[in-house]
Amino acid sequence: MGLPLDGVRVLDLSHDWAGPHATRLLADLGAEVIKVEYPRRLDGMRGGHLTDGRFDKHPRFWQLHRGKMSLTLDLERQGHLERARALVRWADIVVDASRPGVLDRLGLGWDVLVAERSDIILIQLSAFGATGPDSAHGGYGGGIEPHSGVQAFTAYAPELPPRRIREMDVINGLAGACAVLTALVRRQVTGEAQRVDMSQTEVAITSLAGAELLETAVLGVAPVPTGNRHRSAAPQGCYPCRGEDRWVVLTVRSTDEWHALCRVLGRPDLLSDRTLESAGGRMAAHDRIDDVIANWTRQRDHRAAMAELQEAGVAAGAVLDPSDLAADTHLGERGWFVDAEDGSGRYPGMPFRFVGEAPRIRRRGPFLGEHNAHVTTEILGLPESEAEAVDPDELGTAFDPE
Amino acid sequence: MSGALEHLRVVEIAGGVAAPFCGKLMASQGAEVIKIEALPTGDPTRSQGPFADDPGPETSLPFLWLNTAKKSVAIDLESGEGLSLVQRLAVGADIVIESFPPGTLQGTGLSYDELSAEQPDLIMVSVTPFGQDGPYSGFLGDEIVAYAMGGGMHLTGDPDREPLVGGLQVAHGSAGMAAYLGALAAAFDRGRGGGGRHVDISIQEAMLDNIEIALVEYLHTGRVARRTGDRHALVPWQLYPCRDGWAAVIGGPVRNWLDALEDIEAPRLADAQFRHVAGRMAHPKEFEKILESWLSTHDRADVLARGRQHGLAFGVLNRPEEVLDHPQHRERGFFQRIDHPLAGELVMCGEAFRVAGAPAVHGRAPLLGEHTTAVLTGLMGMSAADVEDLLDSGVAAAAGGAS
Repeated sequence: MGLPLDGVRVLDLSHDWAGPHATRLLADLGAEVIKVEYPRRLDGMRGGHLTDGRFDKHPRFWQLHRGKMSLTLDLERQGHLERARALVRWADIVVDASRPGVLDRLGLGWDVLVAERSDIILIQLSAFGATGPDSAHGGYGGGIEPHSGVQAFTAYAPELPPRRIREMDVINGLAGACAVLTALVRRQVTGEAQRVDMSQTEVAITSLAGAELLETAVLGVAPVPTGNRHRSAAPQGCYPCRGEDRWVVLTVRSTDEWHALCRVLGRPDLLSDRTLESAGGRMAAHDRIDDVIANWTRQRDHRAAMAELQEAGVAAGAVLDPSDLAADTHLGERGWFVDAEDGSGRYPGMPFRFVGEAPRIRRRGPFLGEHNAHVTTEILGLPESEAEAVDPDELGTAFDPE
Repeated sequence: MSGALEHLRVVEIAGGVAAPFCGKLMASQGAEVIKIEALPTGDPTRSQGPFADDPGPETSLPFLWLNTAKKSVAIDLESGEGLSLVQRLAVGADIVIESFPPGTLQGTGLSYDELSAEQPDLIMVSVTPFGQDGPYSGFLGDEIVAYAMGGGMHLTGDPDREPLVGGLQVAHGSAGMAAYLGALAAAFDRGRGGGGRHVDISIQEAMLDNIEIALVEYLHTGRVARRTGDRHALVPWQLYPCRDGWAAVIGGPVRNWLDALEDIEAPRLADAQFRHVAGRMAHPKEFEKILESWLSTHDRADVLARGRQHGLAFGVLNRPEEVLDHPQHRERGFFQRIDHPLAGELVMCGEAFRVAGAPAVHGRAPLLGEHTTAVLTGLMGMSAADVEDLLDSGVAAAAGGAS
């Protein structure tokens, strides 16, 4: 069985994280993706250094652009806009993550795209959406997370500073890929061009905070951060284990689970304490219960504690760091990490899998302009002499002052 | 047309957050989503608070949020007759979403193997805490467990404190969206002859996607990332306290930073050591002391405007009440007021993305069994008398207490 997006072609004009994450998912699913790179201001994930080809050596870039091709284009140069327009004719999908209006300014606005290819799909992932008073402004995860309100819900306690969960780019990239598939499926039915407006702020709200905002609107009071505790179930928390910075979490959601926890902790006295039979009673005694749990977890390895708790029927999890995850037996047996077919090493897997199909990663993210010759000859049909070499003297980074 | 996915029929037999969220996303884009609810109580989320009004199965806010624009068919899944009705509905669907513990459906007629034997083009989406196989597949999960085992928790919170769970359903939201992506990728391929597929979503693995950079850096350099409070690698790139709350001072695009200093009247920020981002990253504490002193005499809106004037992607921390009334959301009609017969007026945020010419669907969540009769007579072609028998015998139930 082939990959589900085999033969689907994507022209990727995005940069940094959210847009590239969307097209990474499409590439993982089999799509052919050309990442267009602007030599005078390299993708932020290529870093701020031009010496020793360091811009080609970032594992984060290899990850975010795995399976894609790199083509350098400078739309201000003679003939390059024509090449971009020819690539629109080649593509099924154009992904853009710039501020609304930038694409038009570059000569690649919606009307141009549709004129080049009547059934083109354009996905625009902007910070605030294509309309409204904020639409002209840019945004990064660090601004979108507080602006969307998402950051207001995470803190150790209501009076302590809000903390980031830092995943706005990934959830937005995932939503961007969802938008592409929605448009592709609809195009199969209508045969027509599709245009999708995606606000990264709205995605953050819909995917993470919709229920909390509904509650705020209906009850007139917003939920406040409760640290690691649950709002209604108890106990729930993060407890220290043997070793440095080792922790296990657990959550008790029913009386049965509470009884199971008491047995694991070896505390029949708690089991028979009738004031602790209800979640409310346990909430009132949370500090005392936490001490008992922590005394038990401190004597154990974080994964051993998790296994013992799960075995007894308590929802528990070790707090896993990247090294734990890379060595984890469950992920290992599921083959979650994947070795790239180009021999460049091991990569994180997919957020889902198709049963019976092994996930594939074809190659690491490309070197700058690695596919200039291929795209020029095989896709644009031009002679090889037309392929541009990357000129080291014209390169600039996203971190240079202007 | 109404909704980009209006030609798709989805049968959802699922509880929890991630799987119903996937169904909700599909319903918002126009798919017909038929939610099978097991009698007597329906989706267990119906019993979860907070409630819009008096506690009851029709006023649970989490349920009302997760099930907008779906249809509800209430069936007794313990009865053979009920199971066979659901099986017929599932075989006639494009996509089936389920969230049972792995192996539970085997032999009921509702497993992927059994359904795909009847309908090879079926797409089934199975959403579980740790996936369909592997040593943890029988483990119990919840948001805090998924966030811990999905690597997010190790990286959230302060370096000198215990790891902190995200205050929202990060793992479950990601998993619901990953389920949507997997289902639609399969649907696209089926549309060109690629056949059916079984999509396996492990909520842990969907969470892991969120820390892809920390993971790949460990795999290729051996460096283990740690939590850093709110600190970002770049400076400034985080929330700082200001006079009336918190402002996100994001020094990016980096090329615009020096220009913005015209409007951030703290002359020492222009010192030679802070002119390049590398210098700001090398001396963050000195830099932030000057910045925070300036911020303490300015309001959020003022800080935001000054940054934006120079093309910087500043932000502010909006409190939930402010988000609901934000001019950007008002202008785009992002929040809708939706009337519910028992829960009253609700305020729901809109769809994740907007497909031109295919407006999203903004319906309310269904009452338990609200569409039982319509689906059995309409879609399944049963006679009114046969449906009456099913209701009388308790195999099915309709809203309004027909049984």
